[in-house]
Amino acid sequence: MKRKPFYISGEKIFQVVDVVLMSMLALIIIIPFFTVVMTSFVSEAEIARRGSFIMIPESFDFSAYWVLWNGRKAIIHAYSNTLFRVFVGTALQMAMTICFAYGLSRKGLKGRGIITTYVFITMLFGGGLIPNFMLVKSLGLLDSRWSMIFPGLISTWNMLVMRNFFMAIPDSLKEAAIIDGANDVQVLTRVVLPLSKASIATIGLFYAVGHWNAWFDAMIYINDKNKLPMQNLLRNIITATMGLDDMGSGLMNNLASKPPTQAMRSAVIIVTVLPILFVYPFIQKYFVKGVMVGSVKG
Amino acid sequence: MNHKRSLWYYIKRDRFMYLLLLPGVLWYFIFHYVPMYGVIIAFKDYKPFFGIEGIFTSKWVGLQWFRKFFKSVYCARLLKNTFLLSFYSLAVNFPSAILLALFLNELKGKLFKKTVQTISYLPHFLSAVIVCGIVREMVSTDSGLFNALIKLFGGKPIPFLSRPEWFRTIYISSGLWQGIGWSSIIYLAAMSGLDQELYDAARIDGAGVLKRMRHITIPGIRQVISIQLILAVGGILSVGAEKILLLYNPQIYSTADVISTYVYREGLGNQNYSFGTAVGLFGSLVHMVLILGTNFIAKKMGEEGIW
Amino acid sequence: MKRKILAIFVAMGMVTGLLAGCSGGTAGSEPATQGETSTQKTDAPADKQTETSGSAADNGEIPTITIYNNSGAMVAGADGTGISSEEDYKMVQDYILEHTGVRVEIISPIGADESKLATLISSNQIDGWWGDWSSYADDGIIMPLNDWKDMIEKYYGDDMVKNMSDADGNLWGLGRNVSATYYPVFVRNDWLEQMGMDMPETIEDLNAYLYMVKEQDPFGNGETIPLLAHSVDDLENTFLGGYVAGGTDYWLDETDGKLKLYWMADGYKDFLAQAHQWYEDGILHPEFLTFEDPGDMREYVAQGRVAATACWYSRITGVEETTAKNVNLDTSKWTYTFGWNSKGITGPNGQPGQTLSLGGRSGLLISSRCEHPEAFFKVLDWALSPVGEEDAVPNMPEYATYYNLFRDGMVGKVWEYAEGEDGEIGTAFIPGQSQHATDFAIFDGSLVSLRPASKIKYANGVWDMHDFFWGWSGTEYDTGGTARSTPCVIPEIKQTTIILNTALSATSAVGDVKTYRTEEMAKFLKGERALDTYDQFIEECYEIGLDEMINSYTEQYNAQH
Repeated sequence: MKRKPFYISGEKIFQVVDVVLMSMLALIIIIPFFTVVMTSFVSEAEIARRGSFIMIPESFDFSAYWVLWNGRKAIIHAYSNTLFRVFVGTALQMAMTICFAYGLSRKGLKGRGIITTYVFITMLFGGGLIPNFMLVKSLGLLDSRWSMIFPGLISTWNMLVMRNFFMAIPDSLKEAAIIDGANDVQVLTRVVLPLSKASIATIGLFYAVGHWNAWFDAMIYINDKNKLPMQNLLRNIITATMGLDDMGSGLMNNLASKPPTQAMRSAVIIVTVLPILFVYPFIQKYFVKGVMVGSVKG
Repeated sequence: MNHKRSLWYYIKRDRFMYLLLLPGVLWYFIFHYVPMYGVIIAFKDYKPFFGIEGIFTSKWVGLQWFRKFFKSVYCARLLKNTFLLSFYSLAVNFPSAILLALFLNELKGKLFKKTVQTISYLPHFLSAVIVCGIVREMVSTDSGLFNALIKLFGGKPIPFLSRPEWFRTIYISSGLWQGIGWSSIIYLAAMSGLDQELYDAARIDGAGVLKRMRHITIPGIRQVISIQLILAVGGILSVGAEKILLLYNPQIYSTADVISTYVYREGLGNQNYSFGTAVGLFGSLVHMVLILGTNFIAKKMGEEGIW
Repeated sequence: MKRKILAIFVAMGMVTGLLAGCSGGTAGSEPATQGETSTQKTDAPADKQTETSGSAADNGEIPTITIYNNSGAMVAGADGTGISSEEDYKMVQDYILEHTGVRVEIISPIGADESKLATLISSNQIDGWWGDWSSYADDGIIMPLNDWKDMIEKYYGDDMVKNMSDADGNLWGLGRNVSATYYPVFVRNDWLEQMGMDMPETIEDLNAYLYMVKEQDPFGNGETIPLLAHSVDDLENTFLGGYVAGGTDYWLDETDGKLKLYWMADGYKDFLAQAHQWYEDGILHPEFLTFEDPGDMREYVAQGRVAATACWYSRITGVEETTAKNVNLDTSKWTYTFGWNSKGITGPNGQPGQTLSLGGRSGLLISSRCEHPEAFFKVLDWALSPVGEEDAVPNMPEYATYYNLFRDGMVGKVWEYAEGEDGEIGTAFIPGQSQHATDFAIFDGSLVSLRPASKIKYANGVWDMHDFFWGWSGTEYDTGGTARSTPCVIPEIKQTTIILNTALSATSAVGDVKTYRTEEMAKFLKGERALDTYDQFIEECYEIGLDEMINSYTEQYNAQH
């Protein structure tokens, strides 16, 4: 066998540096998660014995999860509300945003400037909490899960970004379709949408994550505890300090031992993140596919 | 000739476009223009429990709330903190996301690339309350990882959240941790759209990785960058209150107190919605100037603006 | 083609939907009339009822009382979610309805902030909520409860009635807290013995203990917290009486006739010097100003890291059981992990450190737009009076009331009467039973809730210490619930209480002064600012607007006294 000459190309060096850098980044991002996972298994007794900083507990204590298991009904309920707003909300937002952005992307459309200004003004002036609340109330949306969806159907920023994506699609493609006898709606569905899969996937994910993390609207518009999404419950558990209040909730007595606050908080974080971890690879598959296939070829 | 054609011709020609715009226009009207009357409470002495009628019946006070804000001894500090915090965030987060996208884009191993990507998105799915909980835990003098490391190397633990000089670092680095992967998505999407043949050609010409980045990748995503920049600059004064409220305390007000947290304390704490609205209005004006300004500059530089 | 049709359908559907919404919007945005209001109200917890609507009482229908239960007592469920099972909620609600003919709806503050309350009040969705009555009374937002004064006095005591009344004698709500001493200095019994010391009586005794604990670090890892507090306020509430004659009360300055704040009084600087010394010497945790209250505070107590406390009592009493377990308390020697000096800790001026915490003006307030206040008081009367014969359950003590139903849920379902170790009948939770997040805890603050220790004993003893302090809090009560002066607070409280108009505080510089003070206090405490600049600091406050604030307070004080 002939030996290759000893030669390291710039490409290879770069790959190595790249892999090292990216691994470090991944590590930095993972470490806090790791500590959260570990903290959720720490027991009060171990803290008392070993001090507050425990990287890996000696014995794994599941009482924090046991507490959450007690509340599974509420948590499952909350999850179903979150899923509702993520899926239905995102779908409607995408429909509205695509229609509007496409309409605005037409160069030479009469009144385009007026409509853009019309939209821009809303970014600057808002009515504030009470008028918005009154509006939702008079639309009969109070205490309805739709109150988490309708007021935010279009995010102006996302819409403008999408409009710019649409505008970047070469006019020649659209014109070709029109010559073939397509009307504007057909141009949208047959030419523009297939070409903008990447941007649609991106904006769609922006919307979905917005819904996933949103809590303020539900806090204001929803009184029925069973219609609250997970984020609101989570805030309650994390900020409301878990456990015994001044007047106390005697139910803690049912537990053999009370988990430490930090374990409880960590367990809640994990329970909230786990579904994403399970679902994410599937979304990611489609998402990446969308990004790859939808590339605009000049 | 084109200019001779009547308006009706254009409307008819673009009728489907108008049809598509109609739901959005109506939505904006109902959910933005209908409640917009609420903005007048910035010039009134209004309390939330006056109800909706109170918006119209409460007393006019002119520019009282604006004066209160500008007269406050904290006005200058609030503006400075707000500006610096968002400026630093922008200066750190914006290029980092592009850099990450560039590095990810060059990775050869598909599985590794996917793994790193997935991990980097993960923190974005956490809400502010969780992120702040993690931050507090990490920087704690007793149970925090950072101070455990400091102690390991024989240093004296630093009470990070009690030191004004640390707040910006904590705020920005936690923001970076949470957002870097996510912000890079849009650039990665744009990069994947670039013509592969250009790269192949450059490789044949002997262009190295860095050269290809500089001459193909970055120019290719220029437009996306410029739009993202305009959007980011536009939001420069809109530092969210939630995260700061969850992290700050009086000891570090000197660097952590921003307009929105001040309004939260003054407005919500004292149920003074008028004041909050007035300051919000002021913020909107600054916002508008910044957006129009950047847009103008971007266009001058030959980039595609938002308008 | 299909796609085109679909797209058009989607678009059309949206248009019609929005149009419908739009017309609904214009019709409904008019100020609601009385009849409509009550419809809205009963509709609020949407799917729970359909039959009750319209103006209720007139038609012989069921009056509904909706309460936003934001007292803070409700946030804690067994799992921390704060959500009772629907079944459990319904059971309590139906039971109340059956006995009183009134439907009580509770809106919970799960994960909510102040803005939730603002919207609920402004849209007239609730009949009652918890808050400071002086913020609402002037604007006619809440209803004076003078018609039910006798009933309220009977169940809440006259001390409470006094705190909740204005200078003209109007009663504005049902108080939450009694005037009491909520800031006892708790000291670890076992460590006290370990140091060979007796229960501290003076600040010197306490210091001797604190410094010895600091030195010996009985918890280990250098993590012992000699003195637990989370703010300068905590320290003031616990110790200031020993330095400043009037404690944390306002005081009238004879020289200029103005009402001044306690931090402008003689002796305050000495207090600050002591606080700074504690910080400097590590008696206070270096990060104590960032502690989250009550979460972190309870956590540290429960871990057994804390040697002595200067904070709200329940941070200790609420976790006593866990603490005792974690520190392996020798129960043959001590009942509780922590002990306290019932005479209080005396400061350099010979006075006890605590100031009597006035019950305050916070309580359950009734909206002036509440349509059935009489229904509300019917429920209150029923809830707090002794349980009748027909409802008697086995083992029920004769003094039992329905209060526990509101607090803990259905008897027999969530809890039961049981015999305690001492042979007395008390209440005990049924193990593994349904979730109940104290939704209906709307009568907290009544004498029944304040003195459960003397009325109902919890069979497992967890709550004894907590209840002891909650009911007694170092204060003695006569039968009418009036606080008597007790040895652990400064003897003479001038009670220069004034009712501050919140509208005035919004326009004046109160917020700025407060911000400036909290910031500078942290600096004084940490030694970043020299103590001899304290007078200069007060001057600076005057420049920011303290002047305006004091004049406004004085004016209001003179008008009220």
